[in-house]
Amino acid sequence: MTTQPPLLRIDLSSGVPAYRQIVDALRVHLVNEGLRPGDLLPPVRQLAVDLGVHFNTVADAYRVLAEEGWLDLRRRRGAMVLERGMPRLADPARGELFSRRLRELVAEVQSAGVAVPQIIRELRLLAAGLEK
Amino acid sequence: MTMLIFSLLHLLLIAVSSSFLPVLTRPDLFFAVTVPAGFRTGGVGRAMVRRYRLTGWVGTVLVAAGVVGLGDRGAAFLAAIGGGLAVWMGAFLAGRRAAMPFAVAPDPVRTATLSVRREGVPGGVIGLGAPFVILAARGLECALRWDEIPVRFPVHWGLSGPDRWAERTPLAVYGFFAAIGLLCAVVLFQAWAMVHLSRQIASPGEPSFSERRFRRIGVAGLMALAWIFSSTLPPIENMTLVVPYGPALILLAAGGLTVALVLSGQGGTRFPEYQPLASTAAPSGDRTPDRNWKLGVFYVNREDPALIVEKRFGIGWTLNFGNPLSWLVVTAVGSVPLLLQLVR
Repeated sequence: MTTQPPLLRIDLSSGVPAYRQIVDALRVHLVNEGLRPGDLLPPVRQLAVDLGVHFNTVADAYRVLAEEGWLDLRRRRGAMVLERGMPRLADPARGELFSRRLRELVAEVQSAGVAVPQIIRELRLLAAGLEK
Repeated sequence: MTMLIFSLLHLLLIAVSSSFLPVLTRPDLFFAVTVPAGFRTGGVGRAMVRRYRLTGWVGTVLVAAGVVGLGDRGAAFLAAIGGGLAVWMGAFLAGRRAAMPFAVAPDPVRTATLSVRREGVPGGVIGLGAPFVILAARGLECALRWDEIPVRFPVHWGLSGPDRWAERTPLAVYGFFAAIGLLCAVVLFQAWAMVHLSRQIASPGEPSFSERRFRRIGVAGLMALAWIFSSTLPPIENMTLVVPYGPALILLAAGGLTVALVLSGQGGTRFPEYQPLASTAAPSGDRTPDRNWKLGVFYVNREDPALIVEKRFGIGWTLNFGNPLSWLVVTAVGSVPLLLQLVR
């Protein structure tokens, strides 16, 4: 059985810039190992055409992830996923930022009408995934 | 066959093919407008198609009367083609106006596979380069056997065989080769762009199989045309590298490609593996915004990196005229008849 490559979804009607959505979605795959070290990402041209966004949007997203140490951007080979260890949390402010963003996100989806039990269920699923 | 009958046959061909165009598009596109799934086959949609056909056929009868009035001459052919296209374009625009109130916003979610696409043109570099190698070899043969080339050779074919001839001069012989080379370059570039600069519209997985199959047919058809162009034209007598029956082969290949695409349905929507959207799902259309389709026929979107997109009216693909590369293609296509004019 062949494993299907991961998918990337973006919502063009969302207020979040497309490049941000691409970075966030790719990072989820990288952290969850949907994309593994050595995997090749589609070339900028292919991904931009498929998503219907400008080449620079995809190039910027790849660059952000390269700066975070996730990708190696080679001139001819495209973007390759790198082996990257999780850094130790050096800055306590990062932890506070995470708490604030999580609370803001929960408030945002709650105000958009997502039911509280569903939010709790998703957070539990996420926590269970992290504990594995 | 007289010019009058030839003209009327062309008019009939335009009318018959145009009659079917509204039902050849993707199911959620109707008169180049994104509509809910199932709208086209509903009562309102069917009534619109009937009105479109009625308008077109009434116009066709009027044009036919005009063509008969012109009699057996060249102007009748121009009137048949021009009149036929104008009539059906008018019917299409009226249909588009009627469909616009039923337009819905297409699904804004875009999905892409995070893997390098392995698709390529058939034969790769060899497939793309072979027509030029063939032309170069034929050019060399012409140089080596220059005296055997007829003093006059055909460069254009009409109703009853060749109707334009060129003298045996270096400009005529190699100018013709250059024109055919340019034509091959344009056709092959479009085949390449269909693979690398066109969008995978269907969501990755099963639904995309039929779309890829449809694209493969289009790409293979274009490449076959380029191979035939390079190996058949011009049919200079006694040249061993010429495949005979060039014009007939070209017509056969172009006709075969059209029939294959029609049977496949736009985007492969007539293949058994095609999975239509649930009636409750947001239509995905062809992942191009309605507002960027000028007159429903010309796609102009500077923000879309795709160079080639599926046609919204008709079958096959068209250029994104918002992409500067498309104008290069248009200029190259326009240069072919200009080059041929120089060959005399």
